[in-house]
Amino acid sequence: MGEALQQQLAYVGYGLYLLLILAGGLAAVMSTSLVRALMGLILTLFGVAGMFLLMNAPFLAFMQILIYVGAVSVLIFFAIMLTKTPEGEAGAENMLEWIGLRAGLAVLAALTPAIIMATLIVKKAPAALALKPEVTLAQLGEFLTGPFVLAFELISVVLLAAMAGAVVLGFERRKGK
Amino acid sequence: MIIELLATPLGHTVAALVAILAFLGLNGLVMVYMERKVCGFIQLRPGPFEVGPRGLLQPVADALKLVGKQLVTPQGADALLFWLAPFISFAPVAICFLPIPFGPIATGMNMNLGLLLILAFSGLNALSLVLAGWGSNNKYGLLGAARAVAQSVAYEVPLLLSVLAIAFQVGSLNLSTIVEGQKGILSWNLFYQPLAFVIYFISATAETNRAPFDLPEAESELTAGFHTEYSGMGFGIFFLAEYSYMIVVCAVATALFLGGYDGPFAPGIWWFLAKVFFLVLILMFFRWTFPRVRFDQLLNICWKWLIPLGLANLIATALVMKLVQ
Amino acid sequence: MIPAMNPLVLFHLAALLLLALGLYGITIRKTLVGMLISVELMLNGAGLALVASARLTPALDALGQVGTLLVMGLAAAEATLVLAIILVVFKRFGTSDSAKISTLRG
Repeated sequence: MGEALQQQLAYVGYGLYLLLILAGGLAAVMSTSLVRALMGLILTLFGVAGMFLLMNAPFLAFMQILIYVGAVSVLIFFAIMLTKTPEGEAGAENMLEWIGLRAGLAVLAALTPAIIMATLIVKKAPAALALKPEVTLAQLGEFLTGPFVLAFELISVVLLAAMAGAVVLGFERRKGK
Repeated sequence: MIIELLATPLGHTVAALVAILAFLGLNGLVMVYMERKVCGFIQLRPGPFEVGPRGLLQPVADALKLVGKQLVTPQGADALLFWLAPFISFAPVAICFLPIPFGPIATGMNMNLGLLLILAFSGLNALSLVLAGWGSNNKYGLLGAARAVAQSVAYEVPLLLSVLAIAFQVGSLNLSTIVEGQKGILSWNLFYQPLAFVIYFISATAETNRAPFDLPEAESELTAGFHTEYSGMGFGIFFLAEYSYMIVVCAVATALFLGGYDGPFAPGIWWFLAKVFFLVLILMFFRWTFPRVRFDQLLNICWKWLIPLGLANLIATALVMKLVQ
Repeated sequence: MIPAMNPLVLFHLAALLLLALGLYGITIRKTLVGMLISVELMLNGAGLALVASARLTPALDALGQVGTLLVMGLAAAEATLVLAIILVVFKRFGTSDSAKISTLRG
């Protein structure tokens, strides 16, 4: 495959993943049913995984799918299921309130940092290097157990604290209450 | 021109995907027949006998029946999610076949992180269960889906731990590398990591929702659980996805523990398939031998037995690797 | 054409899109789970920006990737805790509508 063809395919891939992210994001923030919003989030997560693959970071792409799509999405689904309100569908939003001040403020909240940062990014971007060779798993491992060993240990403590906290919060005493 | 197009990596991958889909289709037919004959054999009866010579055309009749049924969407169900679920169930399984080394040169895509890809896309199984249960608008379906997801997510951990022990030992996540390090029957990883094999196989049985861990589809309990509302081809795709997932899991077990395509005189794809179908046969024997476990027993086995044993195995492997060097 | 549309800018714009969508979502959504979904969108955007910056500039490659892995782990831990809190709030108030879970009057 010629270089030019690969370059073109890379841009096509970028466009495809950007479309996935956009579609998924719009579904996630604008959908009335929360389960459809969750599906939109999952579509976005796949789009981001694709972007990671484009940058030649396959380990991150697979970890994104493993952690986010495999675990966090299922967690959010359980929360949707367990916080089902008796009236209407689970977590359905009231569409009438979309029109009006709330929607206007939301769009303002989204667009203000977006426009500011977009101009900054486009004007003052440093030159992009050509793609560096892929960081192998062994290098990442050495990094994690070498300079970053404290971060590695701390994140296991954080995960342990999160698990313990979740259990304590959800604990129901058998007698009394 | 076709040959040079196939030689490029993209062409090779596309050809591999087509071959995989054909294999999965054929495999569905073979396994349906195998399952019913094995069931009959264990229950001391002949099994399918009428259709074709010795019942060989029974799967074809089954497939025709499934295709011919009316596709019904339950009222009040979210149609998009309802029909998305079978496809989300099947698509990741097809992708999981890409890094598996069927033969010395017959690999879909030789990637350094093949094992991680298989683990990541197996996690998507839980997602399709969720969609199926939710989209059915049926409380039995939702309950079955919740149980199935709890089971699936819980048993991913011992699966990962046992696979990690092998990755420690070999030093790579590339399935082709792992298979190439097992030439000759005495160097099969089965003899180096027997505990990991047992843990892997039990977790694999639970991950594929096969008996004795088949609570999600318990026919006698939840009226078929999360796929209660699916008729005809919807059920057919779930069925196909489950059988394909069984093949994936047994193929990974073969590649990791049983030496892959290695064999006494001619290493090749036939030895690989023979070992895979041997493991599938064992899975089918499990179904008709063991009684179904209760839900709390299921989670107990995982959290109280498999995970501590898996962790102990991992620590022991790490210790031995360090001492041997 | 816009000047300097190199890959780094493209990836950063994609991350910015995720951030904007997440901000819109968290402002407009009323249910707590909906807000969590928007927060996850923003975290993904941050991770994408981190990896792009690490891969396409002279910065240390492995640093960005390890950083993003830590962000993913933290996002998972945070999602767990937020969902547990949502469940407790739901048990107490009977609804997960953010406008109704308040004991202040008026």
